[in-house]
Amino acid sequence: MKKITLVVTLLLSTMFVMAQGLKVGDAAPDFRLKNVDGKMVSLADYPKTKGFIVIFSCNHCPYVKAYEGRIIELHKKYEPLGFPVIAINSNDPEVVPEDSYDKMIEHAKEKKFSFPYLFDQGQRILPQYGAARTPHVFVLSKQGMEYRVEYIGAIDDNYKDASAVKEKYVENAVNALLAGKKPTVTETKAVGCSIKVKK
Amino acid sequence: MESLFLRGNDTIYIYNFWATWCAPCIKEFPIFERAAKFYASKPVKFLMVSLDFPVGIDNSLILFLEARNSELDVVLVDDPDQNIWINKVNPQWSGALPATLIRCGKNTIFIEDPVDYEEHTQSVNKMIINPKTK
Repeated sequence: MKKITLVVTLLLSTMFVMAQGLKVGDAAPDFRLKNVDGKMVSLADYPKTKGFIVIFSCNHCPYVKAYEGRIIELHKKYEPLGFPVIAINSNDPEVVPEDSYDKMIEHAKEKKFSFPYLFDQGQRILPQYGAARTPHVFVLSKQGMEYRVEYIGAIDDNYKDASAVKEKYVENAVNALLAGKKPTVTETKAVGCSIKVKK
Repeated sequence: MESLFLRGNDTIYIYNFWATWCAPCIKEFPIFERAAKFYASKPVKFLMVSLDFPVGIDNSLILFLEARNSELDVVLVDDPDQNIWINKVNPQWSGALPATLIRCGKNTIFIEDPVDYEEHTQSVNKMIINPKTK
């Protein structure tokens, strides 16, 4: 009995190490994913941007719904300043039918998304970034040919009430980068929906 | 909230972080009901920590619990500043649901994933057999 438990515990800790993905300061990998308009999108398609607000998102998660208005506003505010939002859905539609590519198209139309909403078919980008939940934000800055991770975490410190927010983590990080500085808060946590992958 | 987590004695506390809107959480809920029955005579306490949105709770959490007639203890967390308290629960936790913390004194096991009944009871058994080991 004891031996078995030890193995289980070891397995769990190994899984955790594997799931860690990108860290602040790492170079983020580019991707080529299908947008809701049918076109493929890569970071390299944006030669003039200063960086990106990459958000692992989906249709179904109540926390995403709570933040959707704020995600749309982030793009409106920061796309003209060189930091567009790029949303990625990595949920497996076989596990969550509401997060299928077709439903993504409907959802993006209904909410009038002005940013790309990409489908990570087969969950290939997810493990490279190590996103654990939705919404999970990665702020990237462009450094020559590289995309450097500057911030990982939540959008702000109050999912419930946008007007009661004290710290706008993502905005603060992007504002710092626009001012040529490093973000002071580089990692935050928030409750979210786990990203659903096939077992 | 903190007082719920800083109980120190030889009792094993099992905290499951869940919400009624989280499908894998609902799926594993019966595992905790089964385990609570199994450990009824042992020093093992279960606490289901709900992260349901406080708005509309009558139609989510309360509806669910009444329909299930569950004997598990349930608390609702209403503290939106999650960046502060997630790390206090366990630094390994990303914040994704479901998550389970098993604690006995300074001994903790943290699981960020749906639990499996067999694995879960083995982890708990290990602590019961020797609650003082690391």
